[in-house]
Amino acid sequence: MVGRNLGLLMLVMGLVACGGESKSTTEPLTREQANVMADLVYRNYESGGADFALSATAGSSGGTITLTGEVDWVNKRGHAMVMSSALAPAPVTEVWWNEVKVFERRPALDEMIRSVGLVVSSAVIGRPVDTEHRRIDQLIAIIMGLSATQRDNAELIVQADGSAFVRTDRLREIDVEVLRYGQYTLYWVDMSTGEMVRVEGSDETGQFGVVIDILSRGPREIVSDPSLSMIDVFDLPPNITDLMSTSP
Amino acid sequence: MIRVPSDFSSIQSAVDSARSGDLILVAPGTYHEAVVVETSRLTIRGEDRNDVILDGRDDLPNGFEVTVDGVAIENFTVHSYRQNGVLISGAYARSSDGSVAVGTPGNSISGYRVSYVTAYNNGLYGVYAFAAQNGLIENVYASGHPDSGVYVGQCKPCNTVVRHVTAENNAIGYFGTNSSGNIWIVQSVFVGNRLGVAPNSQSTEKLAPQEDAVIAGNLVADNDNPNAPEIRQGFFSGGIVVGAGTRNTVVRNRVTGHSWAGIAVMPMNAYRPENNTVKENVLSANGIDLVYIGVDKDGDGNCFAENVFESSVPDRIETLLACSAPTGMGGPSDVEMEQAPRGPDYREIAPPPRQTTMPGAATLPRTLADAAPEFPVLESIEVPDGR
Repeated sequence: MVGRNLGLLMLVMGLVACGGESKSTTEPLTREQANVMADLVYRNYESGGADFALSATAGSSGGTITLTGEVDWVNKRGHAMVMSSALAPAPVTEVWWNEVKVFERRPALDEMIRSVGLVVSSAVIGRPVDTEHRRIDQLIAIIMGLSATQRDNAELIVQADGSAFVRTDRLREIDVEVLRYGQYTLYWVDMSTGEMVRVEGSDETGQFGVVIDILSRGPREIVSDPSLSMIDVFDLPPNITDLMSTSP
Repeated sequence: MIRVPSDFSSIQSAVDSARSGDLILVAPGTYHEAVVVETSRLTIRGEDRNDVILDGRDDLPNGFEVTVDGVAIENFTVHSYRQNGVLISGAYARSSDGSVAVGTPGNSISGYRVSYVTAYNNGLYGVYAFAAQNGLIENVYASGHPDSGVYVGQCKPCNTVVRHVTAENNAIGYFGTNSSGNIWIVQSVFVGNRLGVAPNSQSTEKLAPQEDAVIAGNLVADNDNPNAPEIRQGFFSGGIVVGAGTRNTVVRNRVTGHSWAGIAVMPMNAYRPENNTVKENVLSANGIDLVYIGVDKDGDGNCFAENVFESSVPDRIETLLACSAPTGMGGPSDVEMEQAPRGPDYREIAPPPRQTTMPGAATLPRTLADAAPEFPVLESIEVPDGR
């Protein structure tokens, strides 16, 4: 059973190369380091949830997108405030999600929505998950993929091309080991707890990098369906949905 | 002979002080240890299978982790480890050129035996042999694992025998990814798992595709148990499933009580099953007794003969895909698989009952595990009785 976490990252992002700031190393993983890495996603699941901060390239047109929020890994839900430097006519400012739907707040669309007769003050638009086309959904999938109900296989981590100990470091006043899983994913691991503190990855061109910091941990109760002012995307006219598809 | 705890207070300290060829005998008690064995040709034996217990308390990684040649683990109960009950792994061995051992001659662990071991409620596998050859896994009981009870992976030739094993209430009874060549899974019981027995090919491990396993004389029943722990890939309800293996022999097994399929030969990932033989098995009470899924109209050399069965996909499977003079299917063959239901946390599976302890454990001299085991004689293996 391959490390599902890496697999998900690669599936969603086509990851091939790491972020580039880390020096290369030929130091192989120790048994203890491999065991810690095999446990990372399961420890996240055991935590129940976490606050997180994600920063990523916004898409092929460039710019940066950040998601700052909380995730419930047990019930597979989340919520984040969104900021993007990419030029977009109707950017997402807030997002909720569950396994099958994403709910977006896009204030720039409110007036247009009211103009078609839908009575809202600040609309939340619900739509199906679309990891193939929506950058924000890809990022959500990566966040959710940091948790699993089953551990990874330490033996496969060890023999994956590129897996290595990179360095020790200090992050947010936490002593960490930076460990590479395969060629393309870096984990920053709390040396005292064995928990994931940060994960980094990017695609082969370096254009689609992502960094996720895991902040405080613990169960989270997140409303995945913000019914207040919620509008189904299928009730919107094409001129509005077109704007949604061109904005992260 | 080294005794624990009279000579050394812990198993690990005894192992660390032992010399190659020693026998370490462990007295009844519960040991909260993750034992790493880095001295070759040791025999580590519990005096009583049920009363010499390694308990990882859901905190320690592996009960036993063996990284060297010729080690025997005998007569223990091993439970509640975060990863595996017993791990035999070449992952940290280095071949002569410094690369990680992958499971081929001169490039693997050579020689191991896991015997009279009960493994339950560990976080990955009960008994796991990886990049290791010349092994014997016998009289093992494994339950409550969210992956397989017994797993032999990535070896070629494996020269390994799995016999007289019972695996129940696991996500999978036996799993063998890319384990090829002289690998025998025989005269064992795989009951009440989500999937019974599955030799398979996967690109996520080295040495694909899987080839040349013999699965014979096993009782494979009711492996559609939604109350067994769930595996994240989600396969559900199959007795013996050859997932894209090549030249496997599935013969004289009794396979019953699977809502999807009794014996299935099917593609997996990018691999196709080729030249597998399914013969003389007795099947009953399965959703479909015999299944072949494939795109090749001639069945890629997979054949079915002399089985006792009532249903198959494709129909008339022993004519279309006969082992002699097959007529061919004329088109692809496919069937929908079952959706896997959610399962319980593996830690909630009830502990197993007491198991048969190793006869003469306290007095028998050690038997080295540094050579290939004695291999079964296929002709002497019969279809087992049902339960």
